[in-house]
Amino acid sequence: MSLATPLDLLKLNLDERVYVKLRGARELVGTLQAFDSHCNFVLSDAVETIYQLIDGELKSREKSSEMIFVRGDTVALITTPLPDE
Amino acid sequence: MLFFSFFKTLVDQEVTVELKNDIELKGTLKSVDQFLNLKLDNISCNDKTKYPHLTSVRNIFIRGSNVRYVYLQKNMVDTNLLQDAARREAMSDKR
Amino acid sequence: MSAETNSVSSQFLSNIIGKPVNVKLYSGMLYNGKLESIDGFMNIALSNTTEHYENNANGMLRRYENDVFLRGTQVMYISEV
Repeated sequence: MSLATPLDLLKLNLDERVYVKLRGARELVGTLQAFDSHCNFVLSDAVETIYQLIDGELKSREKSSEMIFVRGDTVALITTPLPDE
Repeated sequence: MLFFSFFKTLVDQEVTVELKNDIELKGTLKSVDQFLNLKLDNISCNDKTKYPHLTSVRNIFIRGSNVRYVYLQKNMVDTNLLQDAARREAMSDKR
Repeated sequence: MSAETNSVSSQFLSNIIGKPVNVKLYSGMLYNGKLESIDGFMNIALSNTTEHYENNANGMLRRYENDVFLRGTQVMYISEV
């Protein structure tokens, strides 16, 4: 029997604000409502930030959503947001 | 199985699906399976000029692996129930 | 799942728990932190994590205050520092 797995630690973030890094220079901040072992999850009051290089300049745009399901296959990292996020 | 059950509770509601190729489709969720493949009825495209090949399509079957996001309304989801289901799912995953 | 089997790789993984590690993702991002836990899918939890691009010498992009979860499918390698 091993110690708590990384996914067990995610459980502690339920109902808390989380910061998620996705593939393709996308980030999400929202309240974690549910997740599974594939890292599919549902966030409420979420803000997505998409970064793009346009003519060598880093641009970002934001999209808000009150409830969003995210498919786990693009997820790379999950943690709590920094105070300014 | 958590999100399969979750999407089953959303059947007959209007959802917006964003695909990995950036296409966004709004429609009524008609059916879902264990791979989270989705069947949408009465679809409309948020940007018809960009995707003219979709304007004549009324219903669509989406392979789950092509989905990036599904946008929902807050009132469609019982968040307490969902959080409890997620905790239970995390327990059963431990084997 | 991983701890019961006695293969070289799972012994390596259980031996480096609690030690400082580097984790490289396929995206090129490198994470440096203390390994809190790891499972058979290479899902990883790190504490005291710093983020770098490609190597530590390229400077720190970000410091994470709390535990960081890294998804196994995105992990290229994990190594003890």
